Amino acid sequence: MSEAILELKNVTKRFGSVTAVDHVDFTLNKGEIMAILGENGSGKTSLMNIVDGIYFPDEGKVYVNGKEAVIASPLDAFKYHIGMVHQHFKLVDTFSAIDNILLGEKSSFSFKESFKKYKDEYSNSKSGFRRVLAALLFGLKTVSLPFAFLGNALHLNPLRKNRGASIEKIAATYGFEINLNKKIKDMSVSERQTVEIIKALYKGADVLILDEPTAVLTPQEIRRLFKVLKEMKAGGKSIVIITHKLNEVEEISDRVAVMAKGKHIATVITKECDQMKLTEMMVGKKIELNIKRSEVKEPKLRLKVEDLDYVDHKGRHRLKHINFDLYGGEILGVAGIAGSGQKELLESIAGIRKRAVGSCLFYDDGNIVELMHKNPNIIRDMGVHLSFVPEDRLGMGLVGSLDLVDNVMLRSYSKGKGGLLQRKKPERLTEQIIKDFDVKTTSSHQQIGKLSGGNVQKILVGREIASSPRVLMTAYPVRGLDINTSYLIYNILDEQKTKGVGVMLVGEDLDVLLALCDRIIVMNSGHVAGIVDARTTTKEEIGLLMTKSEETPTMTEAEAK
Amino acid sequence: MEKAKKTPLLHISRRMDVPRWEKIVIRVATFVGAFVLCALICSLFKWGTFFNFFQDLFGSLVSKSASKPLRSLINTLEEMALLLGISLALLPAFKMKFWNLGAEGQVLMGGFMAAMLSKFLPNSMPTALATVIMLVAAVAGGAVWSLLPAVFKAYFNTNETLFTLMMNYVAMGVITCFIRVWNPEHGTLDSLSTGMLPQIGGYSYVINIIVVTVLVFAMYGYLKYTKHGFELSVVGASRNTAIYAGINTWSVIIRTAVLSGALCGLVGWLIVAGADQSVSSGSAGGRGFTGVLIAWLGNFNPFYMALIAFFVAFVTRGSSSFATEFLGGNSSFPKITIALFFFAVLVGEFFLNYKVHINRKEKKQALAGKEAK
Repeated sequence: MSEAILELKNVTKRFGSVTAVDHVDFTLNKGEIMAILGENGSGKTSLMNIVDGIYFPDEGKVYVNGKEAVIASPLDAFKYHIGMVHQHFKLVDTFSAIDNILLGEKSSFSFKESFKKYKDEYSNSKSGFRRVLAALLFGLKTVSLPFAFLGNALHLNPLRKNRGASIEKIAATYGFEINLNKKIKDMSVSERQTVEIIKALYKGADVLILDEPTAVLTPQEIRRLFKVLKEMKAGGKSIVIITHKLNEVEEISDRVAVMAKGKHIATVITKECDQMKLTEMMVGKKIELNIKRSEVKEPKLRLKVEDLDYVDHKGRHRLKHINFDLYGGEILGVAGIAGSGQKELLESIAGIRKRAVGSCLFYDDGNIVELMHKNPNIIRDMGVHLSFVPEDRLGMGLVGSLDLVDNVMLRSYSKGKGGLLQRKKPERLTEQIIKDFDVKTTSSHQQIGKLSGGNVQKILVGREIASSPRVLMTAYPVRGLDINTSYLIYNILDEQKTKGVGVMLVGEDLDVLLALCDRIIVMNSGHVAGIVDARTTTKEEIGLLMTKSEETPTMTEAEAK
Repeated sequence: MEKAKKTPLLHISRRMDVPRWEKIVIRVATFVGAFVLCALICSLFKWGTFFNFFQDLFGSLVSKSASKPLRSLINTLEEMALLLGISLALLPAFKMKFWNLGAEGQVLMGGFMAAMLSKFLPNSMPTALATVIMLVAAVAGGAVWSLLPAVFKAYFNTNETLFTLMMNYVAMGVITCFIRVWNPEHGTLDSLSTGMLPQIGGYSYVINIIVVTVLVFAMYGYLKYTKHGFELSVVGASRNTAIYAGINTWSVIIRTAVLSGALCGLVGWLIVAGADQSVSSGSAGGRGFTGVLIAWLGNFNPFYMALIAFFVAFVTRGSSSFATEFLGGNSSFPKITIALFFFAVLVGEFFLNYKVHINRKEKKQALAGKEAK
């Protein structure tokens, strides 16, 4: 065994009554890639935030290279050569990559040394007139020392040449292909991640922690990232990768630490373990990892989207001439890099994006209704059974500060005559949802914001299904949920499909989309790059469609103007 | 190792489920603490008046004249009613996160409309009719004063905080201007010629108190049991959610803001017709701003707001009489005690929501670790 570079002993962190990290021991050896595997909320990120100095542990000790370390801030972490790439990147959008990397660098200005330098210059000068001039210069420079200090502290040297040279060298060493002079806002997610990694390396990190690095990447980008990580490992760096995806653990890691509910379950050598066993450790019981996909029976046209176009209020062209059909009895997946227009597509159909133009026909057993240019309340009042589970649960689908019953009646409160609210029916429905989906809550009058993510989603999905929809649109329905709830949601979607509902599912995990959907729309910067058969296509094919670009980003910007 | 950093001594964490009895204990302690703090300040101004302050405070509730034993109590309740009325008027707007800081101006406009009509209505008109006309005009005046910022907020998403605040000064300017024209010698308009609210049981102000009491319950019901109340709380929580739920956000914003302004106008009418009988640019007396604080410190709960408003009126009147007795009628003194009172309530809120831990054990450990090195 090689030596330990980072060691956590008996570390505990509590937030109020919640114990996020519960007496965890953790060892990272030099030159290895270690995966931390666990469900959402199992304490993986909290544990690594302790290492990075974002949280301070309530109990326990951290050791770096065998010596006790007190890490109270990310700055401290860098002193111990630990760098972390967070799930949400911490970059300044309007700065270039180089500026972001140099940002926060300590100035190394010393009065004494500068004074000495000036003095040497003076004493080395020739005699005569030049010496007088040198004396004058020496005096001036000495007097202006405080200003020089100020300028240095403020980094008043933006025009310094080759300031990015050392950064570019690091990038070249590990084979990063990136233009470091590009502004962050013009970069793709994968490029931003690369900048974060280079930043950590530039600051001298020997231990690199990556929090869910693959969540936002395409299959091709993931492969590239893993290649770089392996190269870094060969170069003697130690890497921790936080993930909840089993196949990635198997592909990249040497050892894997499994966490569940804040506790460290076990650390095993990856080669000696299989996916079944890892899942069992992670969830605490054996579960079936198969997603049920029923066959499509009697598909009926439900939704016909034609030439849907959407330009947002800032003039950005978000949806470009979208055409597709949705049939009852199928699950239509929507894949794409984050921000390719998936959200806008669903919201345009639901009537939330008023600027959307085009045609969207809703077929309801003989009735044909045009959904475009109508508010959600008009669509609802026309008797269109269209349900929508938005991506932003507590920011759009629900109101966190209201109780369960009020949230359940959010879409139907205006029914009934008079100005008073009718809470009887919603109360019964809430009780039903709580029972059907096994929602963990103290009562139906609990504030919904106080429930866990899985239970919040159960209420939202339960409400949307309760209105017996013809079309059910869901955006990232399992984001942030534990495995059991995720599979419950998959099953619900499949069940709705067998009932003849046309289901649209925007997802980020391609494995899931491939296993659950019948057809998949691949979106690429606002247009449909292709519609593929989920039963025959491959991840690689979808990945290519997601990233293949026929027009450069600059062109879309020009178009926006 | 360069330097072993100490863990911070104080550690603050959020309290989730505070038992009811503890809430009550903390709140009672807050109010008692506030009075003691005020009394301490009194002794600072004049040594040995610590208990005199309490005497004046509770004495302000007891009337000295035998013929009207409830006089003082009603005066306190009247002051409370005006403050509470304004904070209730602000409540629906605040629930919608529409920060209406223009209560002062809306109250003034309401009062001004009432006073102006009283000046022009013919004396032959029955008092009841004149009262109703004045009331309607006052409500309309307040409503118009908040309609403007609301329309701009709904259509152009302008900042309502600044807009409503500036409207206060416009209202003051308008009133000052009219007073100059109609009554140049005085700082106020003439006393009302018609439309005064009658005394009840020999006491004036009783109608004010009754109106605001009704308003407390009405507002509670409006916010909790009506579709309007539901809509405005959804709009306040998130406009995206409101659009998703099919709520017409701009109409809710305008409707609620106008309601808020209209109720402010109603209070303006109460001030003019029920108490002052006249109007000046200082008629609202800063109550429009105190009302904001009361709504916040009352956690947007009408009943708790009533309690806070009562204490504010109580402390104001108590410390005024203390100031008359000991400080030569210093009118700034009640302002100091009110500020202290608000401050104490805020501190109480902090302890209701957060718990402070002191890391004694870890400090010792850290010290022990240092010594070992």
